[in-house]
Amino acid sequence: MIKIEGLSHSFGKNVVLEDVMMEAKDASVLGLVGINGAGKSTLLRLISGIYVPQKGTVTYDGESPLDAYTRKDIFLLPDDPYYTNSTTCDELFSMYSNFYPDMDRSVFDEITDHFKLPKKKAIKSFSKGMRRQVFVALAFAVAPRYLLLDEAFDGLDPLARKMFKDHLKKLVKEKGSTVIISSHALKELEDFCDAYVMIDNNHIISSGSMLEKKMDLCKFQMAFTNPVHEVQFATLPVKSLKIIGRFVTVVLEGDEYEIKQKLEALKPAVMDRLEVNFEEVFIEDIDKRIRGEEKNA
Amino acid sequence: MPKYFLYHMRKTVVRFVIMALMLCLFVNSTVYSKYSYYGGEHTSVSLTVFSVFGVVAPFVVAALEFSQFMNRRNLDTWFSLPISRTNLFLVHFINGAVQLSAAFIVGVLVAAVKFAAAGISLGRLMTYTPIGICLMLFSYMLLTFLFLSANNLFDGCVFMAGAVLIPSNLYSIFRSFYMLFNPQDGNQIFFTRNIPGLPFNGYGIFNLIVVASERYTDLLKKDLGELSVDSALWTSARATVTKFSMPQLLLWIMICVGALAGAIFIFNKKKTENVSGVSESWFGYRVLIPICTAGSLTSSFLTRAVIGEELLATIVSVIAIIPTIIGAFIAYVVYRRGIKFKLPDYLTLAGLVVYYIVCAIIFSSVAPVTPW
Repeated sequence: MIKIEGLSHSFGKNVVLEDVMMEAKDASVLGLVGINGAGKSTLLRLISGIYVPQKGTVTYDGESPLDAYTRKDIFLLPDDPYYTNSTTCDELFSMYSNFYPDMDRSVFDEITDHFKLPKKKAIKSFSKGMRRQVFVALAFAVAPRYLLLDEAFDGLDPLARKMFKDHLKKLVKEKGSTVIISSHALKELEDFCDAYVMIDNNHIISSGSMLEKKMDLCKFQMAFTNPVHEVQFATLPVKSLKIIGRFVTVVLEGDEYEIKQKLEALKPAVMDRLEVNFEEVFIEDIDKRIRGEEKNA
Repeated sequence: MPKYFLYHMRKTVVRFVIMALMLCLFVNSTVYSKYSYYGGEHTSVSLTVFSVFGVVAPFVVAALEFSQFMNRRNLDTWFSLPISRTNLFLVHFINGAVQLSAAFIVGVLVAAVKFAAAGISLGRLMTYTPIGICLMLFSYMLLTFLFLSANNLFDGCVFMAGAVLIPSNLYSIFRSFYMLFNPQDGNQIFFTRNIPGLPFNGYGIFNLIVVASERYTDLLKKDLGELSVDSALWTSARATVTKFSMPQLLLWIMICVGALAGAIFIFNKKKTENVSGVSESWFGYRVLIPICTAGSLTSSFLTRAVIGEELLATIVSVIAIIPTIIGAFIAYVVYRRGIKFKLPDYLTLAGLVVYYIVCAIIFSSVAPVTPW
C-alpha cells in the first residue's frame, strides 16, 4: 500500500502541494485528476522518490521510495521520458533491463509488434503516439508492483488506449499491482480506476470511490411544452443547468428518488435519466472552488 | 550496478575509440622526429601532447558523462530507477576515469613504439605515465565537481572553466601586488623564484599537468644530448614560471580529492526541481565573476608600469575599467538569464568598483610610474 501523510512541497515561494494525505490500496487503480498546474506531476515525482519531500512522508508498505531498494518495485513513466537521439526500442529495453532484471521481453515484443513499431529505428523519429506506445509497452514489460503513470494515455489512439487499459486491468488482477495514473482524459479513467484523488489549489479537494462519487449526482434531460426559466429550478440542489428553449439538461446532487419527484412536479413533457460521467463531477468540483473564491473576493 | 556499468561502458565505447585515435594521431606526429638544422641532424622529443590531452580530455569527458543529469526531463527517469544516486554517480565517474586512463595508455604505447624504434630508453616514459595519468584524474575529479555544481549544461561548462580562471586570476592579483611592493623582482619571467610553492601559481592543477610533461621532455632531451645552452636557459626560465613544488602538488591533490567527495555529495543532494534553472552554487558565477573581474582590474594597473608615462598610464587604466565592468555585467546577465539581478549582484558590482578605486589609490601612491 502506498501511504502519503502530511505531504507538502514548494518551489521557492510557490506552494505546489500542501498537507496532502492519501492512500493507494494494493491491487487497485487510483486516478489522479486536476487541472493543469494542479500539482499532479509533482505529486508523482514525490511518490516515486525523484523529489525529496520538504514535509511529510511517502511510504510503500512502510518503506521510503528514497531508498533505491524500495524503487526496484516501482516504475514511473513520466510524461516525457528519457531517451537519446539514437535510442531504439531494443536499446531502451536493454537499458531498463539493467535496472529491472525480471523484465518480460515477450510482453514488450507483443505490444511493439502489435503496433508495428520498428525496433531498430531511433525513437526520436517516432510520432508522439508511437513513442508513448513504446514506453507503455516498457512499463508492462517491467510489470512492477507499483506502477506510476503520468499522462500515460496522452497521444494514444482509441485502439491503443483500449489495449493498454486491458493490459492494466490484467496487471492489477494477475500481479496485484497498484497503479496510480494521472490524466486529463477523465472519461478514460472512469473505465478502470477504482478510486480517484482530485487535486486543486495545492490540496486534495475530493477523493474516494469513483462509482460512489458518480452516484452522488444524477443527470436528467427534459422537454417542456412551454418555455422554461432558471427560476423554476431555484429550489432544487442544482449542480449544473443548461436551458435551450424548452429543453433542459440538469445535473443535481442528492437522493435520486426525491429529486425525480421534484422534477416531475415541474410537469415536463418528457424526462430521461442520463448517465453522469466523471468529467462532469470534476468540472463541478473545480467550479465549486472557483465560485467560492469569487464569492470571497 | 556492475550490470549497468558494463552497459554504460559498451554504450560509450565509441567516445573512447575517438579519443584514443585522436591522441594516437597526435602522438605519432609529435613525440619524436628528426630534422636538419644548419647542416646538423637534430632530434625533437616532446611529451607536450600528453599534457594537452591531460588538460583538455577531462573537460570533455566530465561534461559528456554527466550532461544527461543536467536536464530535468532526464532526471525524472534517472532518479526514479532502482539505483542509488551514489552508485549512479560512481558508474559514470569511473567509466570516465577508465576511458581517460585507457586512452592515455594507448597513446603511451604508440609513443613507446616510436621511442623504441629510435633506440630511446623507455624508462622516462614509463615513469611519466603514472604521474601523467594521476594528475589528469585529479583534474577530472575537480572538473566533475564543478560541472555538477551547475544546474544546466552551459553553466556546467562555465564552472569548469573556473578551474583555470580562478587560480589564474588569484595568481594575477597576487602577482600585481607582489610586483608593486617588490619592484626589484620586476622581471616578469623570473620573479616567481622568490615565491616557491605558491599554491595558486599559474593554472592550478593544470599547471602541474603541463609542468610534469615539460620536465620529462627536458629529461628525455638531456638523455639524448639535445639540450643546448640556449634551450637550457629557456627551460630554466620556463621552469621558474611553471614551478612544480610539493606544497602546490599536495594542496591540489587535497583540493581534487575533496572535490570528488563534494561531487558525490552534490549528486546525492541534487534538487531535481532546480535542474535546468539558474545555477546558484558558490563554486560558480557567485565567486567566478568577482574574482575574474578583480583579476582583470588589478592586471590593468600593470600597464601603468609598462607605459611609463603618468598621464597616459592613468588614461589606460581608467579606460580598462569600462570593458571589464561591462564584461562583469554581461556575466551577471548570463548568470541570471536576464537583467533581473538580485541585491548581492549589485553589491558585488559596486564592490568591484570600490576595489578598483582602492587599487588605483594604492598603485599610484606606492609606485609612481616607473618602467620595471
